[in-house]
Amino acid sequence: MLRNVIETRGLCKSFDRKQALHQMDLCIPAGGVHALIGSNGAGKSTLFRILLGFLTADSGDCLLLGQDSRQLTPELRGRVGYVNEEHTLPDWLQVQRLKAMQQQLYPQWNDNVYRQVVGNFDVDPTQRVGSLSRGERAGVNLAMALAQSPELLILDEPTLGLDVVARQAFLEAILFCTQSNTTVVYCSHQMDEVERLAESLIILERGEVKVNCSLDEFSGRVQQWMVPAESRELVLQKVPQLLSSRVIEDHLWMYVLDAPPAFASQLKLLGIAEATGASVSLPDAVRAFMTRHHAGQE
Amino acid sequence: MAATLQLQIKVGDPRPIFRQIVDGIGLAIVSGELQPGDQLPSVRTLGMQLSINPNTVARAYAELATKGLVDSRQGLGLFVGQRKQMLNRGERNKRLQSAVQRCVNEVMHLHFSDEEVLKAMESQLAALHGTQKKGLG
Amino acid sequence: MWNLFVAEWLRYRNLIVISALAHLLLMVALSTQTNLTHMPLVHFWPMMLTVMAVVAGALQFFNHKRHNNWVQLLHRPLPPERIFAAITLAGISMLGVALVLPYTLVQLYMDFQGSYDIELRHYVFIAALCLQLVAAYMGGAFSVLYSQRLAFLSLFLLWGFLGVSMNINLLALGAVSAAGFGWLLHASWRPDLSRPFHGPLRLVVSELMIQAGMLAALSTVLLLVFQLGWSISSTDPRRAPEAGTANTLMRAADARDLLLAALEGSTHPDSDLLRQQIRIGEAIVAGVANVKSYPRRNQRPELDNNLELGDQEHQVTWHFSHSRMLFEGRHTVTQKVVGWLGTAGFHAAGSPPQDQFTSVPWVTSNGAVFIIDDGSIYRVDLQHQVLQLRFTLAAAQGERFNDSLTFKDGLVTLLSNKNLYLFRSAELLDEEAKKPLAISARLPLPPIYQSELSNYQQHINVMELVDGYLIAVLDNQPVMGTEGDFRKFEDSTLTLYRTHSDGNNQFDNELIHQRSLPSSFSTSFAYKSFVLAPGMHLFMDAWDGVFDNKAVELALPLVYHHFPPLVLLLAVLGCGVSALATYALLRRVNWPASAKITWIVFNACTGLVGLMSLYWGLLYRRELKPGQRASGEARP
Repeated sequence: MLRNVIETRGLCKSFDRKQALHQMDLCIPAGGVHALIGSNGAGKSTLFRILLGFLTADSGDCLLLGQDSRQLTPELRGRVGYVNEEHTLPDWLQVQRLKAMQQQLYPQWNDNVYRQVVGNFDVDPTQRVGSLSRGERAGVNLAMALAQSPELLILDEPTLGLDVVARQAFLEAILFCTQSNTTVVYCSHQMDEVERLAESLIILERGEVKVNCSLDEFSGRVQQWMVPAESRELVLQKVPQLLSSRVIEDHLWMYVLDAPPAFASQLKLLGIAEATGASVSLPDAVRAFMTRHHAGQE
Repeated sequence: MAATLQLQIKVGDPRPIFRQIVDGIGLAIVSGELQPGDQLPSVRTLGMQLSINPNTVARAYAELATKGLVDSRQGLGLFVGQRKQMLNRGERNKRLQSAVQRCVNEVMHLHFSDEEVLKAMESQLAALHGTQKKGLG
Repeated sequence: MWNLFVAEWLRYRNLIVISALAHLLLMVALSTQTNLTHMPLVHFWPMMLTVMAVVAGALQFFNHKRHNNWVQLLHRPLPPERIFAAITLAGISMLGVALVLPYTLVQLYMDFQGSYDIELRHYVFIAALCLQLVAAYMGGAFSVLYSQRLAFLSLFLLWGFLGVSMNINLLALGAVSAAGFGWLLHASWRPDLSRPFHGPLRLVVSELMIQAGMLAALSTVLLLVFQLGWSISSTDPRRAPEAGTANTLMRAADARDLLLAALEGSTHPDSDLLRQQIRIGEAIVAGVANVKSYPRRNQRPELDNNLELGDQEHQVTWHFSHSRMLFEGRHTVTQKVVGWLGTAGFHAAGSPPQDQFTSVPWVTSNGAVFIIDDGSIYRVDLQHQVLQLRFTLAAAQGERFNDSLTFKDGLVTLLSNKNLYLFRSAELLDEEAKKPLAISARLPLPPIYQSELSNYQQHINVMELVDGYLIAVLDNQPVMGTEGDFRKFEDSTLTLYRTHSDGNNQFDNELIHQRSLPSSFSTSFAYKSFVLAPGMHLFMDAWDGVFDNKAVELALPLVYHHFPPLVLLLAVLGCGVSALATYALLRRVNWPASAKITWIVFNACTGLVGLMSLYWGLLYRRELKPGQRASGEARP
C-alpha cells in the first residue's frame, strides 16, 4: 500500500522573473480528503502542472503515486483524475457519447457511481456538452472523474462559479460517491466547503508549504486575543506569533499563531495586563494566516 | 432502528465540526432526547444528513465512545450507553467553572439582579430534570 | 484511439461537409467551362490548398494546445503516440475529404465520360498533392505546437513545391517533407510544451528549417529596404544604372553601339577593320533570349503550356497527350476524338498511330505555326493538314532546343542548351521549301546554359558579314531575386565573335574580344544574405548545386574564393560574433550541455541568423530568459 500519493522534495520552478515554487516539500498521505489552499499565484496551478508532467521543474523531485512525474505511464494516468475549474470537456459531443468513450478508456469504470452523481444534476444524456449549464457541466465532469475510480483525484477549484444548489450536489457527490481507496486533493477558496469536506489542510504561500496538518489542529493553533489599543506598538514589536491585528475603538484585536499556554502571563510581563483570549473558527484562522503570509513579506 | 437526531452544524463556529457533533449528541443524551440503548445513525447517514465528511462523524463517535457516552456493539453500530460519569472530580469541577464563567459573561450586562439569574438557572435545571423523568417514565 | 478519431471528426464535421460541398460545386461549375486539368487557375490551386492545409493544421492544434485542453487531451490512460495518431489521422482524413476528394471526383467523372484525355500523370498528381497537403498540415501544426516562437518560418520551405515541375519529384518532395514535418511534429508532441528541443538532431533539423525560412524573410525585407533607398535617392541600378555597366548597355545601346562597345579595347589585328564595317553595315538586334525550362514528359499537368494547337477552321483542338506522345485532336464542340498528329503527320481518328514524338514538344507561332521538340523544328499547315520537318539537330549528346524561337529582321535565333543557332527567316517560312533548313551560324554557349538557372539573360546582336556573321553576346547576370543573388555574382560579360561557315555545317568561330562589365549592384546589395548567414548559403548552394542542378558550381567553401575579401571577412566575423553571443546567452540557461554545445556550434556555422533565431525564438520574453533558471532536465 502506497503511503504518499503526492511527494515532492525541493521542488523549484520559476517563470521569467517570478519564482513560482521555492524548494517545495510536500507529502500527501493516501486516503481522505486533503484541502489545498493558497491565494492566487501561490503556486497551486504550477504544482499541479508539474505533478501531471505538463511542466518540468527546474530542480527537485516530484512523485505522483510513487512515479516520477516526468515519466508518467498511461496506466498511471488512468489512476489519477484531474478536474479543473473550467471543467474542460469536448463541447461538441453528446453527454452519452462522451460517457461511452470514457467508459471504454478506463478499466475500473464504475457505472453506478456515474449514474448516482449525474442523477443529482438532472442532465439530459442526449444534450451536447457545450449546451450544459455550468453546474451540469461540473456535475458531468465530476461524475466521470469519480466513475474512473481513481486512486488520486485532484480537484482544482471545481465549484468556482456554481450556484448554491449545484455546489451542494457537487460536495455531496465528493463526500458520498468517492470510493474508499480514493484520495482527494481539493483546492478551493471556499472555507465552508473545506471545513465540511477536508480532514487535513495544506496551505501554500509563495511557492512553499506553510501548513500541512489536520483541520482541527490548525484551528487550534490560532487564537484571537484582545488587548488595549495603546499596546499596539508593543505588540507589533514584541509578539513574534502575531498573524494580524486590527484596532477597533479602544481595543486591539489580534490573531496569534501557536500561542503558548502562558500567553496571558507573557503579555503581562510586557506590561499588558488586560488580555482575553478566545479560540477562532477555521475560516478566521485561515484568513488571518494568509493575511500574514501574503502581505507580511511584501 | 436508528434514532433520528436533530443536529445543526454551524460552519464558522469556533468549535471544529467534530466537537459540535460531540457537544450536540452529548446535549441530546443529557436532555433525554436520546435514551440509553438508542442506536445512533450510522457514520455515513449522519455525514449525509449534515453534508460533512463521514470521517469527521467517525471521529466524533470515537470521542463519544472514549467519554463513555456511547457503546459500540460489534457489527451492529453505536448505542447510547447507560449514563455514567467518566470524568474525575477535578475535571468536572473545571468544566463547571468554565461553563458558569461563560454564562456569567453573557448575562452580566443584561441588568438582572443576582436572584433573578439564579432563579432562571434553577428553573432551567428543574425543567431538565422534568424531561428526564418524563423520558424515564 | 478510434474514439478520439471519431470525436475529432464530430468536432469539425459541419465545417468539413460544407467545405467539401462548396469545393465540389466550384469544381463542377468550372469543369463545365473549361478543361479542369489544364485551366490557368489550376496553376495556383495546389498552392491555395496548401495554404488551407497549413491553416487547418495550425487551427486544429491550437485548439488542442490551449492549456486546459491540452491536459484534458493528454491526461488519459493512452500512450501519447496513439493520441497523436488519432488526432493527426483525423486531421489528414478531413483534409482529404474537404480538399482533395471533390477534385478527384470531378476528374474521375471526366475520365469516365471520356471528354478529356485524362492521363496517368493526372492521378499521380493527385497523389503528390495529397502528400504536399499532408506536409503543409504537419507544418502548420508544428509551427503552432513547438515552443520556438519562430517555428512558423519553417513554412517558407513549402514554397519549394512551386519550383518542382515533375510529378515524380513532387511525390518525392511531398513524401520527404511530410515525413520531416511529421517527425518534428511528433517530437514536439509531449505533455510539457514549453520545453525546446534538446536532442542535437532534432534541434539541428528544426533550426535548419526555421532559419532557412528566416533567411528568406530577412532577404525579402532587406530587398525592400534597398528598393526604398534606391527609390528615395533615385539611384535604382536597373532604372538609372551607372555608366559602363551591363545594364546601361542593355538599356541604351542599339545593336550597332553594342557591337562597337564589344570591340572597345580590343587588340585584335582586325579590330579597326571591324569597327569600320560595323559603322557602315546593318546590325540587327537578334533578341533577348531567356533560358527557359523544358516541358518534360509527365510533368505536373497544371504546368502545361503551349501544348495546344487551335484549328478554328476545322473546329479542332489539338492537345498533346503525355501518355501517347501524340497530339490528340478533339472537336471543339462534341469533344470527340477526330484525329492524331504524330511526327509523320496528321492521321484520321482510329487507333493511335505509331509515329510518336520522342520528347514533349511545344507549339510556337510566328505567322506560321511551328512545333519544336528536342531536336527538330516542324512546320504545321493546319489548313491542308500537313506537317513538314524543317530541321533536325545532328545527333549530339544531350543537346536540345529551348522554347526560344525568335524572328527578327530576317534572322531567326534559336537557343539550345549548348549552342546559339541562326537561321534565315525567309528559309524557315518558305512553304515550298524542299531541302532542309541550313544553319547560318552556330555559336557555342557558356556552360551556364546547360543548367536550368532562370533569370539568366542573353542579348544577342548580329551583323552580317560577307562570309559569316559578327555576333555580340551580352551575358547578363541574374538581376534580382532573393535566392539567386549569391550564387555567382560575377560581372557581366560582353563578347564579340566572328563566325565563318564553310558551307558544310562546319563553323569557325573566332573570339574577337571579351570584356567584362561591372555589375550595377553594389557589393552590399549583392552579398547581404551571404554575410547574414554563410552557413545557410553553403547549405542552400549545395542543395541547388547537387540536387537541383541549378547552380553552376558545387558549393564548397573554396568556391567562394572569388568573393571580395571584405565580404569573406565580414561573414567570418558574423559567425564568430554569433557563436560568442550564443555562448554568453546560454551561460545561465539551465539546459543540458549537449544542447548548449549544439547551439553554439550551429550558430558558429549559420552566423547572425542563428543568433536571431535563438534570441527571438526562444529567449526573448520567454521562460528561457537568460539569467533565470529555465526549464530543463537538470537534476539537483
